[in-house]
Amino acid sequence: MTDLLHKTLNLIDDIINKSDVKSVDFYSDLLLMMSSLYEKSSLAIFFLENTDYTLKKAIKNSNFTDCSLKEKRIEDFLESDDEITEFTTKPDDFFSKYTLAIKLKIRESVFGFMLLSLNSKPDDSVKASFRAAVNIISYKIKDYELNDVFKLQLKALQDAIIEKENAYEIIKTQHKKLKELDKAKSLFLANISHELRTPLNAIIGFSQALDSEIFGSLNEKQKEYINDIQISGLHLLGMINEILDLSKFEANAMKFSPSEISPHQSINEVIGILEPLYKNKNISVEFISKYDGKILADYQKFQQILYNLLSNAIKFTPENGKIEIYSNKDKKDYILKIKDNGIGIDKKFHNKIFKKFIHLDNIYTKNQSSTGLGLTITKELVKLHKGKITLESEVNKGTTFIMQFKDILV
Amino acid sequence: MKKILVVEDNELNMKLFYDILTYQKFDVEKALDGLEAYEKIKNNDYDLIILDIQLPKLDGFSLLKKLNDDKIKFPNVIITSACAMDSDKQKAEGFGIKDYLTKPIDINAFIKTVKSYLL
Repeated sequence: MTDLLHKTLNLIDDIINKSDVKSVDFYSDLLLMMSSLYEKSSLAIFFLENTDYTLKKAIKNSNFTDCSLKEKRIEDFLESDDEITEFTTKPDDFFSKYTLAIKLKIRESVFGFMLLSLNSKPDDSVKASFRAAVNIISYKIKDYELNDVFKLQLKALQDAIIEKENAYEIIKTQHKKLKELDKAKSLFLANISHELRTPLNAIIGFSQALDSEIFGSLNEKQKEYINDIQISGLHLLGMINEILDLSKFEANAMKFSPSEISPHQSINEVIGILEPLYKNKNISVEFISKYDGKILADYQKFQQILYNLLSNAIKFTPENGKIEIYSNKDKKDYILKIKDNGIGIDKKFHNKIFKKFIHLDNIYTKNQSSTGLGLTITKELVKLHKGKITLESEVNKGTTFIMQFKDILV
Repeated sequence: MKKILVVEDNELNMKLFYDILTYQKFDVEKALDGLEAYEKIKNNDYDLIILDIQLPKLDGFSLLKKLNDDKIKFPNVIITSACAMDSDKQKAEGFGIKDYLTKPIDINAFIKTVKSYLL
């Protein structure tokens, strides 16, 4: 390291540590001290754009007043790839015979230049020390400016974070409110179910008591009416149970107790339970079982799935129709299909059908009691068994519900 | 004649239970709230209690707890409740009660259950 370079670095270090890069003193000190490094020299610093008042004042405070160096030559230099260049200049107040120009730049961005005018031709050590000094100054200035930009960005970021936090708080509050509302709704449904059961107990109980004729015999018409009351009561009970089930699912309170069960046996039982219904419409029900082993399922809930789908199939299949139940396995999955040749479901409803309170066609359901919750509950029950339910259907051709229960084979 | 206490606050349901149990030749007594039931159980010997859960003054579970706390002996209990939540069934099990019938009850099943304790 040459002596000059060493001195320059020490000096710059000194100035930079002593004063604020944005103050007038910094630049007058800098220029004054630097010119002491070089014999009979003049120094000037220029900033190209966006230089604020302090920096301009710093230039003004230097000894530089008039310029014999033509602007054009400086512009050419600034547009060139050179970092440093040497001009021969006509001596005047500022300029001596030789003038070094060096860019103030950070990476590729030039933001100013410095001039050093000397009487003697600058040698390599002068050039090197000047260059080193300017590099450090560039970094210091840019660092400061970047700091400013950074501070602005930080402020913007902070504002954004505060805004986001506010939004988050709002969402959190709303989420809490919604959760409370949802809980209230589930509680309401559970209560409704409870409140409806009490009078229903009397309705069904008294009609059962009359039906058993323990308090005296009934004539045909009375028997028929009592039967009607009981059927309506049971329908109402079915709906209450569905609402309760749904509220349990929504409150995540549905119990799931899986055990090793025989789906084959379970399906046959459901077919047996529903026999009066399909026999009544002269519908044939065929069960084709290709898996006779066991699965891990909640017995009651697995039956409920089948009961819901099969009773639906019976409901929507005309007299003399045909229902087929297929069961099979796919690796460790259990596949169950329920196919009818009933009225079918228009494609545009396929996505809606599992949603709550959906009735597709009043013509077919007007005589049927239904909450529109059956398939919603069925889907939830299938989900409880890690299964998926889909359907294939065409209007007037029939509907097939397909279930794939993941990994439940024993 | 076997003596049954029916604890039920709904008049029509009380009438239903009373009528069918009387028809089955049981001696039926009524309690319309939990406190009345507590006093009757304390002062009488029953062979069976038919107990609703939601009751005025003292609910069914609180009644059972109070009877246990006060070391009052009481016979087998059949719960008839309109609450179909599993949590209540578990509570009943906690009191050693096996029969939790959810309203609306099936009369025939109900009579069968009653008889299983008394015959």
